[in-house]
Amino acid sequence: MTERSDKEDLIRAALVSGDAGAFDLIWDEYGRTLFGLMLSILGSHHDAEEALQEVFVRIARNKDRVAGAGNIAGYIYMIARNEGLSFRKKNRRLPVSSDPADFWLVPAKSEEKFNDEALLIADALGRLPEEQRTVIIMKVYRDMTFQEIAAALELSLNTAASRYRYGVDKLRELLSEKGMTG
Amino acid sequence: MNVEELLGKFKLREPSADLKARILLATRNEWKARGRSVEFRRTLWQVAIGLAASLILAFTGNGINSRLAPLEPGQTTVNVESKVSIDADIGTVSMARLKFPQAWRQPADLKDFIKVHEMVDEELRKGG
Repeated sequence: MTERSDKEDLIRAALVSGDAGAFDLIWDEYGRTLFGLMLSILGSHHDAEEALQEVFVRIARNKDRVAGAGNIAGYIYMIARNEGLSFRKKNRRLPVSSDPADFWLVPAKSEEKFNDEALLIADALGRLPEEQRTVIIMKVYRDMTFQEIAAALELSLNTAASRYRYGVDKLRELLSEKGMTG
Repeated sequence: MNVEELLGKFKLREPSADLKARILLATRNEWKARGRSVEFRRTLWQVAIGLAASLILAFTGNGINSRLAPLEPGQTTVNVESKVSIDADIGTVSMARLKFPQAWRQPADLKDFIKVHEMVDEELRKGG
């Protein structure tokens, strides 16, 4: 936590002094997770990239507010979530794209080929409420602890954990309908 | 196979290799654009402050003037006499004016003005 708050202080100082290196730091610290969040909300690789670019532009536009936030990570995730949701509303796309170039869930082992299983799981994840899906993605695919997820999404620890639990229950139900879980 | 194991067989697709560069470029452009707009607003403010200061000075000066030379009761206008002294031979100037009244009063443009001037000079030379 200290290391994280040290990085937040660095980001804060860079933003205040108008040092463009602030965005390098933000990318290194939150870029991967923000991209995961965008994928979770938009279900499209292309849209996630476009929306994430807009998130950073928004951070640049509101640098004083970001620098003044008590919880920089929480503030940035809030901007990202709002941007993702409004992007989805604007573009009116389905959460799961059928374009292979746009698939956002790929086999963990590089030697494995892309198969229908990935599509079914992406589809099942797409059917979950966005709040539950985001917690599952941050937990499973970004290895974040519930405490980190709660801080990032400005939730209580219990809310983060229960969203995960309800999400996994619902996912089990959806996947068992397709004969994928026992 | 439970849900977590099933999810674990997959991972999120990573962002494109150039996404970071694109993002950094976009944010730098945004900052530059903001910097320019702040500069422009600052200039506007300076102009506005300059104008306001001029207006304040003008009104203050006017107030002081009317205190120093107040109008008589019933007087609404002030007559100002202006005196112009020209070091020239009034007779010859008047002659020239009589000969070329239009041109003397209001030359249409610079060409006319120069032409009239040359004519007056010639008249004066001849008269002298």
